[in-house]
Amino acid sequence: MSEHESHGDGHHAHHPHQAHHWDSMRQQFEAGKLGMWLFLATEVLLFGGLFCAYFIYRANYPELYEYGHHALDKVWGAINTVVLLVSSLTMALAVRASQVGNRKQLQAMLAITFLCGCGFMGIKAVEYKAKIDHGYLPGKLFNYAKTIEHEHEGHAHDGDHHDDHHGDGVAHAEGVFGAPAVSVVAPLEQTAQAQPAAPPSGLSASASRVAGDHAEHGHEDGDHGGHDGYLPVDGRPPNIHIFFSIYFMMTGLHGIHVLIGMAVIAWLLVVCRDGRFGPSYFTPVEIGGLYWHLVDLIWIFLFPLLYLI
Amino acid sequence: MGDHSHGTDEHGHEHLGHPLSVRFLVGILMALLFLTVVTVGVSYIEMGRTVALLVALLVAVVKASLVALFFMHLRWDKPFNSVILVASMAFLILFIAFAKLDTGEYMHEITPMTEAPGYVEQGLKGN
Repeated sequence: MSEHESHGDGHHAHHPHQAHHWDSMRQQFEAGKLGMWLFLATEVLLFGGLFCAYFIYRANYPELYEYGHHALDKVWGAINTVVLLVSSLTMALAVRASQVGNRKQLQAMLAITFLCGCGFMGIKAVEYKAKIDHGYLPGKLFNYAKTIEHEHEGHAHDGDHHDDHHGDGVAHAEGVFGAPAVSVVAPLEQTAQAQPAAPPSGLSASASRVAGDHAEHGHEDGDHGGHDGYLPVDGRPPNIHIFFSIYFMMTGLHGIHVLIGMAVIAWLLVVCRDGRFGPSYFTPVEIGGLYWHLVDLIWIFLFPLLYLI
Repeated sequence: MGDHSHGTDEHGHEHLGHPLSVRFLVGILMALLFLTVVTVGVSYIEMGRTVALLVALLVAVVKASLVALFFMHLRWDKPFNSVILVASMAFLILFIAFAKLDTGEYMHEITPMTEAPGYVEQGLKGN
């Protein structure tokens, strides 16, 4: 398998970490890496299912993403990208340190990588908390009333036309996120019927119902998102919860991978203390590094796809 | 570039790795950070949704390639490891393409369902 075969001279001292079924440390190392790459391929396919869901919904309901991505905080997302990229560098430096046999540097780099992982999860927790507090949850947990209330609050803070949707049944919505403005004309009697004891903040509890009524009456066909009759609630697609299902599933699975990667790094930090890693044996660091880089690689795709477009 | 790492240490063991210079690795990070700024920056520019998607994917593929080639050492690995990664991506693209073709067949049946009265309310149970 390589030009550096170790058997044949008969006097080669076996490395303490060479398993007996390998001809050489190099063969062992290359085989380990090959195995890891095969595993990473299955990881790509595992995430692939979710990427497939992302692209299918994006192709069929582009307005979900156009509206939904405004709900995510670009700044936090970009900071997290930087955190993960830096951690990727420190992981690469950790592998390098083990290759040149510098244990102190290996420990330092692994520790920084671990801390970057903590930072990433911390920021993710802040983001998740904001989403959960305002009802932006996946699937049927999505809380229409809360989210719309939240968006109207933001609207009020913007200080324009907060009262438009009272009385005349016109919800003049810009959305809290600065989404493109869309006016939804709700027939008066239906709005009234749908919110018998509506709080002054207006549409919140009833908006989704209004959307259903709209669909029934077939108003305003085709002026939004390219799907005939696909009607917005307050300028947002009524099935917006699908965006948050995709968001939580993709970032959630990714977050689990970050946690697993952090566990691997913590383990490396513990076992590297005896100085076992050096130029001729560093397979665990290399393989743990490959895993961590794959996690980074997936985030490189998730960030622009979810936060930016 | 691949030869100087194949030395042996004092015990006669091979050096298996290919240590890269710190400067080189930091340079890769700088390139990645620059591309991150680019992808965030262009997201503020108004363009068509297809163009925006293609630009975002293009930048992401370049960034991913940098990580895979240099941080993950594919550049100096046996080519078969790269074949595995590229094949997994290729099959993923195939998977998505066929799934897209398939929903294309059904969308005209799905769309009326999602627009039917009460569709949204059904999703609201429990709220």
